[in-house]
Amino acid sequence: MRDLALGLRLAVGGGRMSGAALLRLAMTAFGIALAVAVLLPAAAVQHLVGAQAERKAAIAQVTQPRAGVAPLLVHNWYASAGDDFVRVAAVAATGANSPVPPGLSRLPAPGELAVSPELAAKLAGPDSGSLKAQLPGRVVDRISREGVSGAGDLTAYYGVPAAQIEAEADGRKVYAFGLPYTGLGLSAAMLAVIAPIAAVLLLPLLIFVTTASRMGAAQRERRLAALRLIGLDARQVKRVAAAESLVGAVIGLVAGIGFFAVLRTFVADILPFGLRVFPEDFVPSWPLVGVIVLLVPGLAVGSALFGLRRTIVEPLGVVRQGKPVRRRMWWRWALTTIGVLFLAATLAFDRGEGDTAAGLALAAGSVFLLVGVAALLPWLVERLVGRLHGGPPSWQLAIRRLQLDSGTASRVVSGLVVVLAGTILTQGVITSLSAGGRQWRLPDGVAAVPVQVTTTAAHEAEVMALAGSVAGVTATHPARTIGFRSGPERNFGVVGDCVALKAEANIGDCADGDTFYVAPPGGTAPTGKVRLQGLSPAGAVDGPEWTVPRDLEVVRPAGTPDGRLLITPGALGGLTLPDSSVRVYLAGTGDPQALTDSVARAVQPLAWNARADKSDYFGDFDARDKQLVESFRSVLITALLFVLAVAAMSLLMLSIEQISERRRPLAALSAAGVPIGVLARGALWQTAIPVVIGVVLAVAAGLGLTAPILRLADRTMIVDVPVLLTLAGTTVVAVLLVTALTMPLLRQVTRLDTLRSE
Amino acid sequence: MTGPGTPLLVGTGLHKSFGPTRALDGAALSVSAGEVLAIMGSSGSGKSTLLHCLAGIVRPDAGSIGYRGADLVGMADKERSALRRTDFGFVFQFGQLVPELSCLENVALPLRLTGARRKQAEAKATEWLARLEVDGLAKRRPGDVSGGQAQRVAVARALVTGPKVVFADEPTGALDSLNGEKVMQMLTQAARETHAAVVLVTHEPRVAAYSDREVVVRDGRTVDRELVA
Repeated sequence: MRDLALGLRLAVGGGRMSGAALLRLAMTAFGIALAVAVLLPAAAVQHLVGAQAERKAAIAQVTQPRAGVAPLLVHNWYASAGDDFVRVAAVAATGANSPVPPGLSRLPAPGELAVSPELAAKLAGPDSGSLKAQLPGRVVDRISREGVSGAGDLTAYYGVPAAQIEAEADGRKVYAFGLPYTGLGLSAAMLAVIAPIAAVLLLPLLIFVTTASRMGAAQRERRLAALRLIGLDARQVKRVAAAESLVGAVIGLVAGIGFFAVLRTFVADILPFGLRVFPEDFVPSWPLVGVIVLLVPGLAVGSALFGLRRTIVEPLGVVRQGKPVRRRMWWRWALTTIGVLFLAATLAFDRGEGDTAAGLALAAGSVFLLVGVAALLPWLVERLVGRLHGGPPSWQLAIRRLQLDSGTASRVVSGLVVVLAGTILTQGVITSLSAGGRQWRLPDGVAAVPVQVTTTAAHEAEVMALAGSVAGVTATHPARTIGFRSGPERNFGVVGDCVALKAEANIGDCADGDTFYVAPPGGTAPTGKVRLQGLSPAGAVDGPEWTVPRDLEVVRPAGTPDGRLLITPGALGGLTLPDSSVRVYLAGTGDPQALTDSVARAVQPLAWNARADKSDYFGDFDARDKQLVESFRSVLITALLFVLAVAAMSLLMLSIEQISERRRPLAALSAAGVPIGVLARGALWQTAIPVVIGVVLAVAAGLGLTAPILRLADRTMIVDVPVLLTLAGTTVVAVLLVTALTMPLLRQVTRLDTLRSE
Repeated sequence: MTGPGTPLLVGTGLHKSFGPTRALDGAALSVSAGEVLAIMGSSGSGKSTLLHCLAGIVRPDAGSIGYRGADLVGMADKERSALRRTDFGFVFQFGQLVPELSCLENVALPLRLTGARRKQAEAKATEWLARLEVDGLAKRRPGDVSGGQAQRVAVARALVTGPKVVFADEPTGALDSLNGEKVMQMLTQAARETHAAVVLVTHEPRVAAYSDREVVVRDGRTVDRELVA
């Protein structure tokens, strides 16, 4: 204990800390704080997901009858506005003891809405017009946290008379809420995916912490030698060194916990992709907190002691065990080879055949190869710089320095390589998939009918009347979804006028009496007699027989779901169609969204029986997809910049350390007239060479890994040039910045007092 | 052209203070071409500061330094650096070689900085290593050679550019007496062969004995003391 106390006192230097010691302490604390700030949220994820799963179980509807319980009648449907999908449950009590859903103090009365916190926030927002138009009733209550699974849930309970639900074929009787929570099983497969990702993300921080804790090693070793001189033995000296490292670690730990506490307060507002969480759920599990609290400072202490493993501190100075460390290559090559073999195995699968086995081989191969490449980097840098020679003096100074010891710099860059390659891989896959993601294209006829209302045959007339009376609506064109059964074979199609059918597919010229078959590649049109079937949520209802016309026109429009029959009413020869789902297309003028909102408000009294949407619904999807891709890209670039910043700080510490160690030769060179520019350029090349090798390797690995993934997904590879340019630019800036930050020290060590030998 | 006996480097009325500490207080000194001059004095007397001023490493607060008719004090830092590269050579007590460069590269470095091609620079560096009897160490790094050998490599580096003046600050301070003698012998012999002046800072009379003339620095002032042959 006395040794530890001495170490602690030496670490803080009795208030007279040297610049290097202070920097070491600050950097260690910073690195530890970052590691803790990354680990604590990771440790909170399980609780977060568990809490959501637990509440989800608690709000599950129990439909098994229970004696003495008057069931709650429930009909679920979805209301949508843009990319917001609201799960609405229409509810009606059948007795005084009908169960009340969790999160509600009472059931909403007919015409009343109780909404989730996120929905309430959206409805209170400035762009809530479309959402309000889609939701029937008036908001009177808010569902508390117990009644929603996640903070981002868009849900609502809508009170209706019991008779309205009883009239529905798919209404349900709920006797209770809540299923037993069986816990959140973290499968081995999940762990296999999470563990390498966590390792990859933590690697740069790990390197940062170990580099920081070994800063100022020469100065510390001199101090330890002085302690040996006054009588401390070798073990005591190691304990002193451990205690010194502990100070920075503890400061970092406290700072990291503080940062997490602040982050937790704002977590609801800072998550990307529109994700929402309750801060109350964002609690790390205590056993994991315990592990982090012990492990992270332990890491700093361990790395300080590890740095001394080949150093014998003697009273008259430090002796290094001269045995050169042979780099063990077998495991580095093994990781890389396994990765390559897994990736090669994916070649056995055809293009577009991205099934589970291929996907697993790809995921495993990618992870192995990424880690393998990072492990090989020190060896590669050593080999490459070993072959470099010549060049101007600044270049010679840099490469000779790297030839002497490139290991530390390479290790720093290794973390960067993994994250960088992973980022390029993910970004490449996302960009390529989103570019070719949607195969469908909306037919040209959609432009003529900007709004559609989905309803049932029973409400068709009412919808036509309500929607047709909306200002701006100029015509209504119903299209009925129909099934065609011929023995075991079943086809689907739409019956409607030419305007409605042109909104379904690009069929060219059309007149009443025409029938079209949207043919799939190699598909043949149905012939002969078929049984018409009405399709509705209640199921399929047989109608009359119909003979497929011989003059059926086969069309093959690009980008339309195929294999459907499109029939004008005149082609049915006056047959009465069975009741079926109906899409009423509305022609109109003005802004499509405003018209959709007006129609939605008009049909609102029909609740789930009429849903108004923009006919060009792909536009919203595209906007959402684009936004998601943009968010993803922002997150990736932010993560990348963070990792780059950490790597740059590690390189900075390394440069500072090396300049401090070489202060005399540098001062002598400066005295002999060597311009400081030569020394500065030497420092620049020394930082730039491993980084450039790392970045080139990362880009190659990232793009190389993207190719097999996209091959399996049968997509063309698109290189995200802006991201690559951002990456290259940021790397150059980071290297320049690191060099610029070492300049004051370089100027300082080349001053006169460094030369004094007395 | 500066011949033997003609003052090559002349410093007069030199004053230099570091905060409240007065390091030089009117020191004056002149060095002739080919002359070996020893600056002696006790620790903290100002002898190293005098050497640094004469070499253009630091600018004195007052006084003048003339080098071959040019005013060193009035020169810009860039000019003084260039002068140090081309006309001056330096040998310090220890730790002056770049640890990651081989001995050969260390010696060739000043030539490379003046624009010589690598092969040309290394050929000349090899000659100098041989002259100082350390040619067997060409490929070794400074960390792998003894202190005496490293100091001879440093002397080779100081002389390789053919300087007019070599400044040596306690060049044998970190060596045992045998190695110290050898280094001094080689330094002075090589300087004489190339007609370079040597300004030698030392507090050891044994080292000063290799000089033609001694100057003693006391409280920042110089006292000239001609050696009696």
